[in-house]
Amino acid sequence: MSEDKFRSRLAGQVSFPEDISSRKMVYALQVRAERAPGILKEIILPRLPSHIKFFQAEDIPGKNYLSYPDESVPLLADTEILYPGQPVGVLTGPDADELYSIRKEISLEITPIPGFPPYRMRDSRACPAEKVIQKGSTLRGMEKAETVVEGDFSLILPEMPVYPRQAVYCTKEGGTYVLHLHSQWPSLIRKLCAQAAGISRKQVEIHFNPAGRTWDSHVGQSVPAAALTVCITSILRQPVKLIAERDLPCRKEIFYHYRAGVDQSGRLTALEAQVYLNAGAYGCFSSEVVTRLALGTAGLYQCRHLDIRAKSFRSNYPPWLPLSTWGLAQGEFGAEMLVNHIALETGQDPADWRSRNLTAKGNLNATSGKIRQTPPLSDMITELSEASDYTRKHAVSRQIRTNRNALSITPSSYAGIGMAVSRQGYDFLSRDKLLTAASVSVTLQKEGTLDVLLGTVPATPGIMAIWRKNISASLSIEEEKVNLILDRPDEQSFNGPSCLSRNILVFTKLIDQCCSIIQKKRFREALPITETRTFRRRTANEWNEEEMKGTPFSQSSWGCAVVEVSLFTATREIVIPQIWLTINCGTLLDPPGARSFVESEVRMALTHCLDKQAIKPSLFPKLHIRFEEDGKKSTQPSGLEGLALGTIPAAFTQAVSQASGITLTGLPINSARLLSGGN
Amino acid sequence: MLIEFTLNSENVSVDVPAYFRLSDVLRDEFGLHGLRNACRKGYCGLCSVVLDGKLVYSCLIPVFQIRGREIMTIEGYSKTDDFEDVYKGFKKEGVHLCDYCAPTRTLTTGILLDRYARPDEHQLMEILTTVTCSCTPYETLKKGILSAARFRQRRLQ
Amino acid sequence: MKENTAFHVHIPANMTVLLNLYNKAPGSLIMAGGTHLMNHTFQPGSDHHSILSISQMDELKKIGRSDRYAEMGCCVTVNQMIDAQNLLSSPLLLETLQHMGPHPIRNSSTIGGNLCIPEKRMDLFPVLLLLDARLELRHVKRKRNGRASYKSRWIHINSFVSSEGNLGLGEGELLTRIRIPFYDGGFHFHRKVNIQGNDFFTINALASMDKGVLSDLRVAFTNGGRFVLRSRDMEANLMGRRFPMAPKDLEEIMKELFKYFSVPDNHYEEYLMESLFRQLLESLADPKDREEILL
Ligand SMILES: Cc1cc2nc3c(=O)[nH]c(=O)nc-3n(C[C@H](O)[C@H](O)[C@H](O)COP(=O)(O)OP(=O)(O)OC[C@H]3O[C@@H](n4cnc5c(N)ncnc54)[C@H](O)[C@@H]3O)c2cc1C
Ligand code: FES
Ligand code: FES
Repeated sequence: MSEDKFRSRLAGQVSFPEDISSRKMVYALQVRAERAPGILKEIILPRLPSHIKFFQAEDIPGKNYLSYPDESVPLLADTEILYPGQPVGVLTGPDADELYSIRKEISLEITPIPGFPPYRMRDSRACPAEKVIQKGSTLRGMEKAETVVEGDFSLILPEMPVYPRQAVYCTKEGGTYVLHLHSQWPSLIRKLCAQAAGISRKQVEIHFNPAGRTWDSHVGQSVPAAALTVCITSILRQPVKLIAERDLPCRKEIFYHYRAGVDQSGRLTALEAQVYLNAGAYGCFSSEVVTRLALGTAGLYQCRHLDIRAKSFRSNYPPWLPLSTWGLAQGEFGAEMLVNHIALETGQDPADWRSRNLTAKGNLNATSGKIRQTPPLSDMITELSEASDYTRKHAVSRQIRTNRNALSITPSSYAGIGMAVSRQGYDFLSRDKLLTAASVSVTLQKEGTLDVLLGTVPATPGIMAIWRKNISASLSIEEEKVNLILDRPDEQSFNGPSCLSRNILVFTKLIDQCCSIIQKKRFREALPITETRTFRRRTANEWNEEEMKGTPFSQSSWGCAVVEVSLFTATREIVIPQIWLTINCGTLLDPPGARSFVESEVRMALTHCLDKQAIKPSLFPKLHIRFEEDGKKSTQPSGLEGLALGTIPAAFTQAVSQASGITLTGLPINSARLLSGGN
Repeated sequence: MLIEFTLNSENVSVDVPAYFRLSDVLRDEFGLHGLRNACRKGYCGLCSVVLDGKLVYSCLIPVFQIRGREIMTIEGYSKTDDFEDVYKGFKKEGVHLCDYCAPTRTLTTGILLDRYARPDEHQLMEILTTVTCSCTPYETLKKGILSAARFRQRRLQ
Repeated sequence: MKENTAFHVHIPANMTVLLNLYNKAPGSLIMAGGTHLMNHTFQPGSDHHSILSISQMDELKKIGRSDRYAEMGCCVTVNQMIDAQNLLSSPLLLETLQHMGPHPIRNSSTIGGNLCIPEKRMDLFPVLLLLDARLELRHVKRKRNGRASYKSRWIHINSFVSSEGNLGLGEGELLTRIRIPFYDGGFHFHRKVNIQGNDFFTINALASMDKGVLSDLRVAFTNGGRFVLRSRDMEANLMGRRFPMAPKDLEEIMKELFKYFSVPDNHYEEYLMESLFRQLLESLADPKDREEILL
């Protein structure tokens, strides 16, 4: 980053959507239904002063719905209210406080209707997506089993306040609507805003701020806010700032039921699993998430006979998908919990069990695809076990727990240690263009400058600098002459969201391709030269999502974590002194950036573990991160996302189980629950 | 209510309802956007300003309380030599803060280094906990703070 | 994007004006640092309040001492108290103050505000209770002939909160000064355990030992600000005993704990009460902190 830019960043000279205002601007405040489910009969308004306006579903100039993958969601509900907090209208006016007090006087007449049925009931209306992985015959597999191990697990994710809050500012300049907001979904936002306001996509221009860590789950907050703001701007023909409010409480829960056949040596002979994901009131993004959830749930271990069924179910809570890593890391939580359970049941060291049972070159993966290269996980486990002294600590803690009654003194704390592994893949598995599309366009101008049109949001601050450096090196152009353009509506093609490490994987590759072609043409053709490269989606031969067959990911990253906990006897407080994390993500483009990224994901994982909204520095463990690189030039960079999320929660749960002597089956865990038996 | 006070070394006045939050007034009336109004509850620390030499969260201060007092925000602080120490320290240790918490983190670090010239572990924690940050590793931040402290000591020697 | 509650504010220049205004409008809210009011009491769209500001009054920000006690105006902030630690000379109080929220909050929040939050007992109350702090409450009384008489009374902090948890402030009465006696016992014990969200369970204790014999003991528990428990009978029962205690005696005392205190509703709080009390007794035997972690 240039010196001046760094200085101005520290000096607070960068503006955010909430910083922007203008004299003619009005505020917009959403009016929400408090009770659900029900049918909205009437919105009863107080007498509104002339400078205050109220808009409802019928006022939306274009289509009053947001067509997300899998399901459309109404922008403003006009009949069915499916969750408390669902927006039904928008108030606008020059003074925000006045809007708050008027909103209190609005009442809604809602007739109650029955809610969605409980998730175990078979009801197609209540199940937006279901995916099945089937391999061999679990019936036969179970017959070969010496014992059958069953496990019921659950993962309930806490609410995490997201900063920056989703303020949106929109103004009309000529025929163009200029939007300022935070999001990693630029193309989807443009499309849905245009649809809702009844205008063309080219009329929407987006300025987004690459602030903070961008989480995948932002879409549910940023898209409706943006679409509403554009609609109101188009009606009022005035700049509008939509007030960001606190996120609605969701129910982010996943339930797993496993049945595993295990032979004498502890190997898996058959694996059956049912997973249920609470999607909230609408099933948007469900099929991609459920696909990944199923893959995660199947685990990374050898097993000939598999039957994995993952389902999402509706409930009368706000929709909240997609979740971070789109379900893969969360699926792995179930698998790693099970594996630990099996190792303990069969009296083996869990690290050892994992090493011996991981799939290797020549095996088929869970979806019957051939494994062409042995994953590096087994070596990673060995190294990490040594670095963390896992095997000894595991045995000692177990010994102490087993003999606790024989101890002459009660220790002031009990220790526990847990391990988990994760594989993350970053391709979208559905073929939905809304998700997968990606393209980059590079133009070498007459003056020697290079315009790179990206249409993506940088997920880490360092990535833009790296692209600039790489481009400058490959074309021998000074870095200052490389313009990275994030958004230009009239020339922009459609790009999927900037999540799942797609910036590193897809865009780095597309930029490289464009540059090498430009390099070839450079002295042969007249300037300007423009080159566009589009991401090629994988064929159904490689991966068949319908049948869940083949090789789901073209490239994978691998992670292994060991988590150590201390459980204080006097207070039952859980403390995490240390975490070891080893990551193999191909070539590292930006080592400090990668470290930051991983650490922030560790913090997020710890909020799941410790059931807190944020992890204070004093609670943060000593973190030993190791990146494994093979040093080969040909190794491509791959992603980082999800490796901490896929490992730490399961490893933590195991560690607390060991320290407390209680078999825990899920998260969250807190001291009061531990005292009352854990679950 | 007409409120006169000193803002970044200038005498200013503003006519706003007494109950407005200081953070809103600084942002909306004076266009000082280095501080943010993220939680309005005293949790995130992104609204930190200096009131009569002391760090406070401006979201919890009703504006009438600042009559006749002195406020400094990052916009004023960035013109001081103390700011340069933090800038150099963060730069040296590669503290790549994102735009969101960078200004407040810089201000709170600088001001607390006045109090703890050579921060020990406990004081480092105190400096860290003034602002919540979701992207930068704590170890990197600690190194940046210690480096800023060293630049500061060298300058003041 | 203001999210404000409109309120009306009076900024009295001195105590006389303040007391008279409060006497006329006893429904007003006193605002000191405002950290609690701005956070919890004022929500967007909530009722209109009338506020009496006291943070600008220098006479309420004074810190002084005599040979027996330190005296704080109610508007002294937490950080000012920390900075005056030589004056306070209580390690327990200092430790408590240092853990009261992030640094900028401690610059705003005042000792008076911390004691006067109506629905909750925060961290300072139990500690000042053990130190036998005394509070000055002031109000003005209007006579029939219209003349005012200014009243001040000093009460023990014990009688500041009723058994139902209500503050002992009369109509138009406010807390103005706090006297904190010096305590020269050599032992203190402080634990603050997060039970849920922002709620904490605390135990605070002060003690003096004379050649292994407990000559003074004061213990208070709080849970999430809802109750503060202290039992003088329990303290008296322990005083005069020799430490370390025989295991049998210790177990006996543990068994009797809930004779002196009512059992908390919540099982976890009951557990904390028992085990932290045991820890206290063990620490009395061996005043060094021992935090051994197995492995
Ligand atoms: C992020 C955060 C963290 C915190 N952490 C802690 C913690 O760890 N421990 C802890 O104990 N507290 C904690 N607090 C609470 C904080 O200490 C209190 O909010 C503060 O002490 C209140 O003081 P104030 O001067 O700001 O009170 P104000 O908000 O001004 O007033 C509080 C209440 O007291 C009344 N009042 C104030 N002064 C008087 C007076 N002189 N006479 C009569 N009534 C009066 C007011 O009417 C009001 O009801 C935290 C708060 C925040 C925001
Ligand atoms: S906005 Fe003030 S502390 Fe968060
Ligand atoms: S660096 Fe992004 S929030 Fe701190």
